[in-house]
Amino acid sequence: MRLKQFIAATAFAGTFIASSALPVFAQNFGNGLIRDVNRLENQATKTAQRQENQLQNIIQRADTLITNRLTSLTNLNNRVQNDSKLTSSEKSSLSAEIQTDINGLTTLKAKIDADTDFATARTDAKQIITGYYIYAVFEPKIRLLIVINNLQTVTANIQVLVPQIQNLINTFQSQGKNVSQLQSLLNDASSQLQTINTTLTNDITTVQNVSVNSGTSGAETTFAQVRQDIAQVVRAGFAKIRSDFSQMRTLFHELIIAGQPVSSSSATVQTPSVIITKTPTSTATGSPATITP
Amino acid sequence: METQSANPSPTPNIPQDAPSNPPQETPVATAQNPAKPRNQKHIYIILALIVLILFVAGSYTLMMSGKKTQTTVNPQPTSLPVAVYPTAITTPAVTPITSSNVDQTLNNTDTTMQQAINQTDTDLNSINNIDKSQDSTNGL
Repeated sequence: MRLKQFIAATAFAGTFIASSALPVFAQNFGNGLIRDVNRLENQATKTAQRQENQLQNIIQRADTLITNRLTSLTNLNNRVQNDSKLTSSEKSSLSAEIQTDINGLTTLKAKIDADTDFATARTDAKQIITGYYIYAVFEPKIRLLIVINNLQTVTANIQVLVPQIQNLINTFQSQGKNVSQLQSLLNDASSQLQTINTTLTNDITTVQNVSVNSGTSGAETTFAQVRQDIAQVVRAGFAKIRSDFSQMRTLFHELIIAGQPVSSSSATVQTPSVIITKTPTSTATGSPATITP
Repeated sequence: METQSANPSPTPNIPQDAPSNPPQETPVATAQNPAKPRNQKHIYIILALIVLILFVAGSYTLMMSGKKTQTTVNPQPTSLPVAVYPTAITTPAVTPITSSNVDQTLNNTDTTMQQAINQTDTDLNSINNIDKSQDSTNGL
């Protein structure tokens, strides 16, 4: 009986104690939970804000990168269009390449501006560099093509003169003049022109084959080789041709000033005066020594 | 008689009225002066015609010049702003080289080659000046 009473009393006391302590515990537990939830919410908000900031930063940076490239491409296109030696087809071809990149970058800019995810925007931003390599590959390529095309045009224009000069030499020869030196110089000039032209033709093909897929190192290797060709073949060849022409002018001068007309009648009458008056300027301007290959 | 005197014929009345009216000379004046107004009228008509002709000619000229300006101005907004550049000459028009122009030709060729070399130097320098580090993906 006493045991029953003791158990009942203990149970009552335990229930009383538990009922009085439980609300406090529950309150403490609830507060902790709310704190944790709030903390997690704050962390999530901060993370979202940070990602949003990162997204805006990458978009802003990408816009700057694209704007700079579009400016460079526009300047490059103006350079092409204002060139006086490029043919219409060369201008069209080069401008079309430039315009393709302008269109691609403009489309990419619109995509990046509309990106809502940082990772996607970052990948797209990298595409501005790796998809175009405007400064490492594209612009050097176009400018080299301008250089080579111009040199080829000049070479072709000089090559047109060769048969004309040959005719004049033949005329002197038919009059019994010694033209061996003249012929030798013309042959050398013609050979130089042929070598230059072949080199430039090959270089044009090589440079045109350079693309973004070539990578920056591959493109640099090609460009270096072409520049070496320009220095060692073209410049040196031009220097040699100028030297040949300078000597030919002297020889022609001597033949003409000898007073023996090359062609009939009126043309020969004018010959001495023209040559004599041109002699001082010719020595001044015809100075191949200024070329430094 | 009285009736005759009372009713004089109209013809005799005129001389009677004439002395009484001093402006009898006015008819004479109007008879002598009509040449002046007529001449003046002719002059006015001629002047008016000249003014009219000048006006018509002026307006016609203005119309024509207006049309001309329209034809030159209108195409601009409709056409795209395509810049017209001088087309490059691939092969020069070479006149036959003779003893009279060989020196000049070789001299010009020498100048052309020098200019080509100079332009090449400029272009190669511009390639050197390209900042290739801008194509680095570092930081992206």
